[in-house]
Amino acid sequence: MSEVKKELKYTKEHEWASQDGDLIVIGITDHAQDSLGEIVYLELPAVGDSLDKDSPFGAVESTKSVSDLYSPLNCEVVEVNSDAESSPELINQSPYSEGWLIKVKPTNKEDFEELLTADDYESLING
Amino acid sequence: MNTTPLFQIHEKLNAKFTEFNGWNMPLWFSSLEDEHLHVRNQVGIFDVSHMGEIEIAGDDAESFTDFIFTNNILSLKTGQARYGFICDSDAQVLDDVIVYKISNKRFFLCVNAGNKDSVYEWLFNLDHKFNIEVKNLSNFYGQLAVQGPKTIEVINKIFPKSNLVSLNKFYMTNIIDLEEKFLSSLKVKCPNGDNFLIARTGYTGEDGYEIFVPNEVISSVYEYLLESCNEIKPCGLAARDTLRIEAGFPLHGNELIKGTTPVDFNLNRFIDFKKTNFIGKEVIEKRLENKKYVFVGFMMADNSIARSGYDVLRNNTKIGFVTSGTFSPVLKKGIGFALLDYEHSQITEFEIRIRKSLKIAQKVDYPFIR
Repeated sequence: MSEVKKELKYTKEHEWASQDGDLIVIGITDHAQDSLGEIVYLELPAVGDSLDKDSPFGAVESTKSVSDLYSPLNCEVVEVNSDAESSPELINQSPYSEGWLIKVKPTNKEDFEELLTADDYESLING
Repeated sequence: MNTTPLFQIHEKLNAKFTEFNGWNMPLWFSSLEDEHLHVRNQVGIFDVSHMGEIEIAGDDAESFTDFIFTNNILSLKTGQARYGFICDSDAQVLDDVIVYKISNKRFFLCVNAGNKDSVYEWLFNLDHKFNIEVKNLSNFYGQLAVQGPKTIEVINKIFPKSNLVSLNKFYMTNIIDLEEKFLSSLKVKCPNGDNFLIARTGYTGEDGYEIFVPNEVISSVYEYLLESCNEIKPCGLAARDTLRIEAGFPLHGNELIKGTTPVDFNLNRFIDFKKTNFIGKEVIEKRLENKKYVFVGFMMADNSIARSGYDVLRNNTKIGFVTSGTFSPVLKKGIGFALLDYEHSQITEFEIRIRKSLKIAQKVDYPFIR
């Protein structure tokens, strides 16, 4: 069974989001990394890039397949996880912690509240 | 969606499944990379029961098979196998197949899952004067591929009575050990009498066997093999694809697509141009004189991965596309094949559009390994 963390918010595209002061940390879920298999390549935006809600901002690739990453909200990138870029297996090993992807500054703080709850996401992946 | 008789065993082994040509097949069990490397270094087993089996039988079976196949059939010895193509009159490949000569009057074809019905119908409906019968045995046989450098040693121990030591590469024989074990319990026997067949062929670039057994008992055979030797690891279709790309083998539908001929993919060695006639010969000969495409292997310069369908460019102009691409578990690099316009036949480096950026790829020889 894939782990869904109660304290996080989610998207139907299998990203998670977590509040860190004024910033939001974004990654992919345990379910997403498990479906992809061994992740071998990660493509992230540059610091300073503006991201549009529901638009692709990068990609995560396993040997078998590629999956676009979608921004959960309108935001500006303030930090990217360069450890995960150089060691993408971190996303498999620790999708909710060392395998985080980007840290962003949201344009509208309310956007975060509109994301899926853990319960919503759990029924999405198990439904 | 179709499932093979092994579906429940795969479920118990915690397989992750994928849809492939209408079949729900195991994609991997624990890890694609572990399975891939296990086949390269030891021995893996694949359920390939979705593949089809067709038999051409009758007094004219030999000359008919020679007529519908690009490679030579007349020089085959009994039990010998040969790879080649079944083309239409435009030389488009209906399927790439291995033909096994069971006898002068019986030829056994192993065909791709997605083409088994179309190839059968094509052969069945061909207008000809040969005295033959085409039989679709796909529902009768299941198929297991046991592949890897340890296969020969391991399978010889499990099937000691079948004299597999003397079975050379690209030859087929009966599995006496399985006949003794299962033949009497079969409810339906194959009309041709060959219920348990083994061939020293494969699709991974490693030595190994492909085993054809009745669907009725394939679960027992699979479990028997796994129980007999704990070195044999179940492998899924994902590893089968990465293994065949590393080995430089085409996949019908990725390569060998509509509007192309086998010579567009450097596969001339599987065409017998000396034969007086075979379906598609004229068009193939014309295409050789007037080449349209060049087929190349490539490796990405950085750590990116190109996939099937991505555009290939030079100086911002599209010159072709990627037919297959993956991350090579052995080389740890993005590798693949591309089909380019023939005017670029001397190209050594090109760009591939990967999402928003252009990435450099170098032409390399294939097979990519060894």
